[in-house]
Amino acid sequence: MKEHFKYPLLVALPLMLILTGFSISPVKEIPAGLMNIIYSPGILLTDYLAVGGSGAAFVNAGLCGLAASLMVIFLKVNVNGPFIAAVFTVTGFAFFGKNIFNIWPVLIGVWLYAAYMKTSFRNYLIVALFGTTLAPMVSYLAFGSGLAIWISVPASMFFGILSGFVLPPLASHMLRFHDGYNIYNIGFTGGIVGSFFVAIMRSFELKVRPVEIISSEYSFFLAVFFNVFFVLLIITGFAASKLIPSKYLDEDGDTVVNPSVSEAMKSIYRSSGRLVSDFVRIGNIESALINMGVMGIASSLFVILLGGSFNGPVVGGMLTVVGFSAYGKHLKNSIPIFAGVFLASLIQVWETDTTAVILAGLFGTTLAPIAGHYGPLAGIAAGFFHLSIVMNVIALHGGINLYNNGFSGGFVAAFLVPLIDALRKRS
Amino acid sequence: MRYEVKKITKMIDEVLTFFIYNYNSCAKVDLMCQADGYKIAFEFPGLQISDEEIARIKKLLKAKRDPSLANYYWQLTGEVEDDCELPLVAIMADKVDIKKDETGVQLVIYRKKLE
Repeated sequence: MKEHFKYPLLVALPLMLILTGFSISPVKEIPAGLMNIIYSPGILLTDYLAVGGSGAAFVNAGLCGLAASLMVIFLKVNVNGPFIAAVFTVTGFAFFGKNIFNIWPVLIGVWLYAAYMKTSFRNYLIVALFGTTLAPMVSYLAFGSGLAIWISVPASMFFGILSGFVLPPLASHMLRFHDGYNIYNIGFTGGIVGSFFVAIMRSFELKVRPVEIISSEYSFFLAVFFNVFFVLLIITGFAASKLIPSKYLDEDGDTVVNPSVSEAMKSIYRSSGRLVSDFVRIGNIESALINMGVMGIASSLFVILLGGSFNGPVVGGMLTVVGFSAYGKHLKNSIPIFAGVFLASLIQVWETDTTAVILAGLFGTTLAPIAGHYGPLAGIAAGFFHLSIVMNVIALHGGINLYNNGFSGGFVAAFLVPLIDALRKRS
Repeated sequence: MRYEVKKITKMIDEVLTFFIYNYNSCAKVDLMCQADGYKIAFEFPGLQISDEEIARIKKLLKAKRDPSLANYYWQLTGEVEDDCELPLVAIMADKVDIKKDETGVQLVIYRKKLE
C-alpha cells in the first residue's frame, strides 16, 4: 500500500476535531478560549475543556494533531505504527497540556539537535513528536512562574528548546533501562529531564506543583463523540480490507501477500507488544485500524466500569491508548493492566472513580508488554504496582512531564522485568 | 555515521541471539568492511528448518532501511534473549538475503554507509 493512501488516516481525526470545535461553540468564543488555553501553565492535570471551553479545546487538539500529521506527511515519513501513535498522542494530550503555543520550542530543540548532528530532522521526528511531553515547561515558565514577562517568555523559549535538544540522545539511551517493556519510553525520558529542570527551578525559589483543574459538564458528549469515532475506525478497517487486494507490488517491486483480517489480527495478538511492535508491519493497516477501534471502546468501558466521567485528560488517555494500538497494545496484553490498577484502587488509598486512578489505568497500559511477554499474572502485578508508583513520581517533576505514567512505567518495568526473568529461568 | 560500529555489532548480536535461542544452532559470522558499507554473512551449519519458518524469518527481516525509527530504537537490538527484534535489524539494513540448503542456513545482511 502506497504511503500517501495512509495520509487521510492521520488527518481525519484532527480535521474532525476542528470542525466539531467550530460547531459546538460560537465561533467568536473560540479565539478567546484558545488564548485562555495558551496562557494556562498546562501542568498536570489541566483540562483544557475547563480552561478554554469545549469548542476551543477541540480546535486546539485538532490544530496540534494537524501540525503533527503535516510534519509526518511533508517529511515523507512512512506512516507506520510508531507515527500513528505519535500523532494520536499529540492530539490526545492537546486536551490537557499541549497547545498551539507550547509544543514549538521542544520541536525546534529537536530540529536543532538534528542540524547539529548534520542529519535530517526526519530522522528524529518520532522523538520530536513524543518529546512535546515537556511542553508544559514552556507554558509554566512563560505564564505561571510569576517572573516578569520580558524574562519569562525568553526563558521559556530557551528551556523549551534546550529540553528538545537533549531529548534524542537521552531517549535512545533510556530504552535500555527497561528493555522496551515500557512503551512510553519518552515519558520516562521526559520524567528524567523534567525532574532535572524542576530541581534547578526549585533551587531558584520557583514553585512547580501539580494542579487539578478538571471539567465535568461534557462527559456524555465526549463519551458519545469518541465512541462514534472508535466505531468508525473499525468500519474503516473492514472497508479497507475489502479494497486492498490480497497480493500487490510494494514500492520495491516485490510481491506482498496481504494477510486476511483474521490472520493479521492473530499475528497482532501473538505479539507481546514490546518495543518495537509495529502492528502495521506485523499485521497490516486494516487490522491495526480495527485493533485501534476495539481498544478505544475497551478504554471507554474501563472508564464507565470504574464509575468515572469523561473529561479532557480521560479523552487524552483514550486517544493515546488508541494510537498505541497500532504500536504495541491489544486486548490480551492490556486487560491485565486494567485489572491490576483496578484491584490496587480497591485496597489502596485512592478512590476508584477519580480521574487520577482512571488515567493510571488507561496510561498504565504502557506496561502492556509485560503482560504480553510474561502472562496475565505478571501484567496484573505490573498494573498493581504502577498505581502506587505513578501517584508518587509526579512530585519529582511537579507535573511538567505530561507522560507521568510513562515515567512511572519505566521504574515499574525496570524493577519487575529482571525479577520475573530471573525467577522464570531457574532451571 | 554515529555509533556505526555499535549498530553493526548489535545487528550481529540480535541475529545470533535469535538463531541460538530458537534453534540451538552453531554459527559462523563473517564481517566484511567494504568501500560503501558492511556485508555481514552468517552461516548456520547443519541447521534444518521448514520452508514456513524460512518464510517467517524472511518476513521479519524484509529490509526497508528507515533511519526515522532506527536512529531512535537501535539500542534495543540484541538486548533481550527470549524476544525477537529482527524487524529492528530489518530497518537498519539495506538488503537481506536468506537461503537454506542441505548444508544449513545462510543469511547475508548489507548495510550501506549513508553519510
